[in-house]
Amino acid sequence: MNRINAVKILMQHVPKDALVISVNGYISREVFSSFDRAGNFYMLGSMGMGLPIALGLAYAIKKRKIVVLDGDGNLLMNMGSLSTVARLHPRNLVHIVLDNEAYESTGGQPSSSRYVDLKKVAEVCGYEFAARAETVAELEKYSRKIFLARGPIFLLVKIREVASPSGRINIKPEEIVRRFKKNTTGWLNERI
Amino acid sequence: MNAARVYSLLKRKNTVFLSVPCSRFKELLAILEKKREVIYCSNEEEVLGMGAGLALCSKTPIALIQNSGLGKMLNVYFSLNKLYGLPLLFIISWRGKGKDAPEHFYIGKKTPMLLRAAGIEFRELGYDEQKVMKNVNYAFSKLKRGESFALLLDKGMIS
Repeated sequence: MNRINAVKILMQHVPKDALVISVNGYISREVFSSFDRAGNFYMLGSMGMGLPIALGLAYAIKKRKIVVLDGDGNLLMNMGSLSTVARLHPRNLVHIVLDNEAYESTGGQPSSSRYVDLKKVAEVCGYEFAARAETVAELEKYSRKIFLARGPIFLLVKIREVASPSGRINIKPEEIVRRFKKNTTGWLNERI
Repeated sequence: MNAARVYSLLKRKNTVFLSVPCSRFKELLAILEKKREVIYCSNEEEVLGMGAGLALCSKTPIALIQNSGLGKMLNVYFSLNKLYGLPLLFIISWRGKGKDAPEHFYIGKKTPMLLRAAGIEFRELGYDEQKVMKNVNYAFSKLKRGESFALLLDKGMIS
């Protein structure tokens, strides 16, 4: 499985009203090129912050699914946030990690995810459901399930094939925010 | 000032309190805990990340942190909160100002400089009611304009 195919399969199953956070590097670029929508927030920097941003959203808007398209390098940079998932236990969180065991956008240096079973880590951090997808068939099977089930949900997607990345994100940060905010207006919980 | 008073000045319609604790505002945290109105984070970067998520939903995140966390959070501040215009109100304990434990010495000395370098305007919260009220209102007016602001806590400002 390569990254762009994984992104396409997942994004096709994401509910229309879900909010999606994609992390910096190639993952945001793939999402932008294949499935741009107003409810997407593209991280450009702030590596490690995909999950925290999603936790903030999940806290403020409980009626919509909050999806994070995370990477192994990103998650490893801030694994402490997994403990915050355990603490807050957001029912609407779907956390997907595209794991290529490398820092690909900086030249393919190895990450340490090959030494750690991230699915097991998620299981002990209070996720309701955690799974690993190695093949396209498995990813399709889980994609049909994870956006319907009660969260927090964790899906580890192993990316074994290297494919050339999509082009850069050509909308400005303020435009990303403007579109996204318009999409969240009126959805706040009555009392938080 | 009394923690309950400080709470009533800070609590507004869309505020959400996020914190990595410090003993200097433990009385305020005790009130927030009782009301279930504080989210404890694993580190200060996470405070800023969650703050960004909340600001994307037009919430006003209030970050209660120690100045040691100021050093830790700077990259996230620049490449997320500042870059996208997702501000927070910081309440930062200014450890190492005056006599304190040795680990606070250097960061304490550099705290104003770091805030200036980050382009975060700041004031000390103050001790008396009039001053605290004035500073808190000023901070919220900055937030409304899309700018982060920091209120610094010296010893005994919240008790």
